[in-house]
Amino acid sequence: MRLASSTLDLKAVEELGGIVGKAHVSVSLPDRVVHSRDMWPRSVMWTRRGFFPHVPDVIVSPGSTEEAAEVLRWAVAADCSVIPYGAGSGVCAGALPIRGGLILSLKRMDRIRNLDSESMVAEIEAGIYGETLERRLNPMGFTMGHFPSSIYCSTLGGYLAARSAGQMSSRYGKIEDMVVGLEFVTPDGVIHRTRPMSKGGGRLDWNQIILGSEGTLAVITAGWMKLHRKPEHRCFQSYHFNGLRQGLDAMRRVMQAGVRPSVLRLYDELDTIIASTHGGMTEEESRDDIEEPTFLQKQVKETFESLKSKSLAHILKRPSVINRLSDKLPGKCLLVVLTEGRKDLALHDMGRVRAICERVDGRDSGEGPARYWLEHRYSVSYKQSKIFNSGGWVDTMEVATTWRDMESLYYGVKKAVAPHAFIMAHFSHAYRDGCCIYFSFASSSDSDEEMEDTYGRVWQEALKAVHDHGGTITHHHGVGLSKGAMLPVEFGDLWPVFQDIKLRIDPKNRMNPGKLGLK
Amino acid sequence: MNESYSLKIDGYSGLATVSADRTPDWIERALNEEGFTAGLWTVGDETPLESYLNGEFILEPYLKYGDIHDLVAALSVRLSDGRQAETFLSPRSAAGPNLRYWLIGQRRENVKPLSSVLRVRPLPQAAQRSAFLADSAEEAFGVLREEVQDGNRPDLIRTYDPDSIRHMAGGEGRRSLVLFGYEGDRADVAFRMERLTTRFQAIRGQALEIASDAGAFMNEATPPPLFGPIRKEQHPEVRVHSAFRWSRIPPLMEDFQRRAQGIYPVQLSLTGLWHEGGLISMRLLSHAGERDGRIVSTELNDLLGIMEAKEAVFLEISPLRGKLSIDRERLLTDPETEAFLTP
Repeated sequence: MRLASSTLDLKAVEELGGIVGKAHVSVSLPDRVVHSRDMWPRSVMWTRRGFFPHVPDVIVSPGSTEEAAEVLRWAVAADCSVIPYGAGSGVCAGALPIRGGLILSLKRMDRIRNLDSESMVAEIEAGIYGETLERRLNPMGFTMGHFPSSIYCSTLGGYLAARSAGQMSSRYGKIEDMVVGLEFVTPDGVIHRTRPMSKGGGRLDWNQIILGSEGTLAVITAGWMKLHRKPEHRCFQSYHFNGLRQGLDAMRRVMQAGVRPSVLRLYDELDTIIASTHGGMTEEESRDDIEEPTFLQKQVKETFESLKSKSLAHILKRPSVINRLSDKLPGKCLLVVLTEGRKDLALHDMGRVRAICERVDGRDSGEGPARYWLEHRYSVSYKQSKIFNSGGWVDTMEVATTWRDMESLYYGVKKAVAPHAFIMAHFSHAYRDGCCIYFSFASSSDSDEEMEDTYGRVWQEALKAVHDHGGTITHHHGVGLSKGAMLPVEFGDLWPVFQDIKLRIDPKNRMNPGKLGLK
Repeated sequence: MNESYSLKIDGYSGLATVSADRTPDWIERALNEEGFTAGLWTVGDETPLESYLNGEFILEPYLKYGDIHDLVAALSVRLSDGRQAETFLSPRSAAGPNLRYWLIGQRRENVKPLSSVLRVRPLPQAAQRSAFLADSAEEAFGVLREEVQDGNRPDLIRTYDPDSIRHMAGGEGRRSLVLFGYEGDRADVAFRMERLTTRFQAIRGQALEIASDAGAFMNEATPPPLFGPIRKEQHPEVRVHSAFRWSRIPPLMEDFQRRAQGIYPVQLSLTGLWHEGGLISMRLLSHAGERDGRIVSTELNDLLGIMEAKEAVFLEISPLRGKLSIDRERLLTDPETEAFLTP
């Protein structure tokens, strides 16, 4: 397809070059195409068929907060939209330049500016990749403890803007629990720095207003983040439960007992079989006291092994068959547990988990599945392309609710999605009062149009079910464009309050327009 | 939360909905009757929860399990235009900014809290306390800091300075007293107590006998006092709660020691702990019969200046006897927030 040229004239490009340096301003077509999409499956579908509906005019990469502030002042004066951009790995279309404009790429800002080892906090620039950050912190004996599966292709700024969660959030917290202070720039070009202290008593906390605002209020340029000592010891354990209810009960009891395992991850019946298929329960690792799989379990396992083959798209066209099969599975749910930290504390924590799991009749499945999970924890994000290559699509939805409403939310969403897409889930990111459910959907269609249509229907039905069953529409992927219509519904009577905040900070609506359900 | 509840408990999720016009004391007692706790020390205070939610006062020194944001899972408010609105109840969410943080701590009347969902837990099976005399407050703080950062945060922390201890126990000692405690299931409490106790013994901390006068006062007082007792001729003038990063606390203590020759005595206590810092509570005293409001104000401004230089986040400044000449508003709010909140 033909793409429109940048609307920026030479003078504008020169002005921006004067701020950040000529080498850091690009209007080249490849750069503009690369920044026209993120990892939202619908935009992946568009890309696969060469459709690029949201191409920005220019990509500008500031090297400092002061440069970022000047670029913002320039953009407002030039009546140009600004879309803050990290690594482009968001899955909700949060960084799509739907009105063109200026992509503010923060990747050059990747330094650790300050490290207070006594207070265990560091001031870190927003453009740093998660994996790079860990690689720099580890030799100093620290970790931030934030391990999203996208760690190789996501940045701190993205985590903060969309309220990310890492796989070890039950111990280290979500990103909003890790922040003690922020540096951000509002569209008037003013640089704001909150004090690096997480506890402000009853004081109004700006950090928590800017976090999750997805670039609609300000550009986050740095964060003061909590650090932790690299764990001295790690314990692994896994259990099988006779059904979801029992497994969830174990999780709830563990969290409410005050134990903070680094990983506490329960797979539903179907996901348990897939986890086993992927090696979570190899023969030598599995314990003798685990029962032989039933005929039905074997059938399902074989079906999923065949998903690796060419027949994948064909199978995904009949989601209701797989879903019905999974509904009839005799309930066996796998719980993977890791504890870590000082050796005595890690052992003590695992001892408490063990006592609780045994009390609710969990069957010890040894260390194998937990060790396997840790070794392969970043693999899942890179498996999606196989499904797209086969002509299907896959997406995930992470929602959360209180323990009381957990099962109702899980079954409600399954029921809503089952006619349209294959669905399974695991439960992770647990808290005293509730937990996140991480659903995976996959489907396939005969045509691109039909595929997009099914994709849209699945999300519509799923989000409605989430709302009807009292869940939040997102636990850690954010809202972006894809869930924007549901945010006013979730905010209810507080929606005008948020609109007012937006209006006062960004009266000309220049910051990442169209996201979070805003205009 | 559409109705105004006095108390409604969801024990399965560890949540309780309460009316904001109830006092923390009332809430804690009502929960206790149902076998639950929000971890609030009952202090005989008549201030309703609403005032803490508004940010007029802080609850932190009287909370065992974190800060007000750890306590409050959701709240219902009346907005300035008369509409009632409530924050979404979810353990965590990535659905935009967290407006609960927008509604808590505005220190103004355009948001009136009506009710709140609090995180609660069953009454603990066991509660244990221990008190240690430490040669050096800095060393004791170092132990506490490392334990908190390793995930072994005590549910109770108070430190008392040498003057208070000398006054209670007599003698000429220059040792600080550290009081800490844990709550929870028996085995867990015993494990954590032993771990921290061993750390204190390693810095030559001496366990304080519960039977001694000082031990009885500090160890068994419920709630544990924020400060040690004062002499008959002394009067509390002002109380300040402020948060510091750990790296700022030793220099702060040094500066306060240097200032010990000040006209009026000062009491300092560590009353809250978290990952990157602690809550320092300070009380300035005056001598009966020698009180001069101008001198008290001067002294206080000097002390606040010392704290400001160590990047204090001031959370509460409460004059306890009459009016003082201090720029309280400047210290408690930042101009940007004020400008933004002013319509």
